[in-house]
Amino acid sequence: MTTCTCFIQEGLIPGSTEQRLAGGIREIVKRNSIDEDVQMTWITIPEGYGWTAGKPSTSSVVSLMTRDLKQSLRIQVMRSLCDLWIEHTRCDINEIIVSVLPLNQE
Amino acid sequence: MPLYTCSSQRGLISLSNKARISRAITDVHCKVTAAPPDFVHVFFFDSDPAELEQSTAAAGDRPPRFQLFGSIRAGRTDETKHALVSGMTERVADILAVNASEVGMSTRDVKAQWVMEGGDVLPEPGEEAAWLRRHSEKLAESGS
Repeated sequence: MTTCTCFIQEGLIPGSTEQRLAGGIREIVKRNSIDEDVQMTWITIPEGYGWTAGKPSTSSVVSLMTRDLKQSLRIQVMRSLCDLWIEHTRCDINEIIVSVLPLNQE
Repeated sequence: MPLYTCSSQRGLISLSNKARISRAITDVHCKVTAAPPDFVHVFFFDSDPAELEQSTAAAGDRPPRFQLFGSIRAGRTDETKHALVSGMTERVADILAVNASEVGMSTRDVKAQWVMEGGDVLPEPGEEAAWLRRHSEKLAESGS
């Protein structure tokens, strides 16, 4: 089971964009033969609740948990997720944090 | 990365204290690890009182009212982790004017190679300066 948890700052990403991002994440996971589907969770950080470098945050955090991947594939997936975010949200590259974690982290 | 979360019941931490706590956590992290502040993210969550009651019953005693959790890069020494936990717990308790026992904290190691920030895989602890130099050069070349 592959899961993806996205933390986004309130007011920065409209619902319609969320749907496009979710579709894009599923497409990246399928295209790279990682899994057939992704269980998505969206967590909106209210204004005043998200901070980066001690200042109000505009960053999104995307955390994909899946089977263990070779590092080269992991990097490819992380790059694709960054590109997806920039394309759909017009955010700066420094405003997207992506992790691809193995389900078994031992 | 690091990503620190702070959970408490709704209304226990004012917006102004959230700002102060985020700066304190960033300050402690940067002083202890020498990492640049731009890496440090702090998110606050309102916890569900029902969940808190359940955890209280399970624990058999009163859990801390304020829970800090840090996802930090793997490779930090136990001494560094202890300095992070004790430093942050103390500063947060001070800001909230509560006893340090009211603030609980734990950390989780995440391998740097599992995380990408600014379009680059994160550096191992201690390699931030070279990473930042390369990252800045790359952004300058791409015109970002």
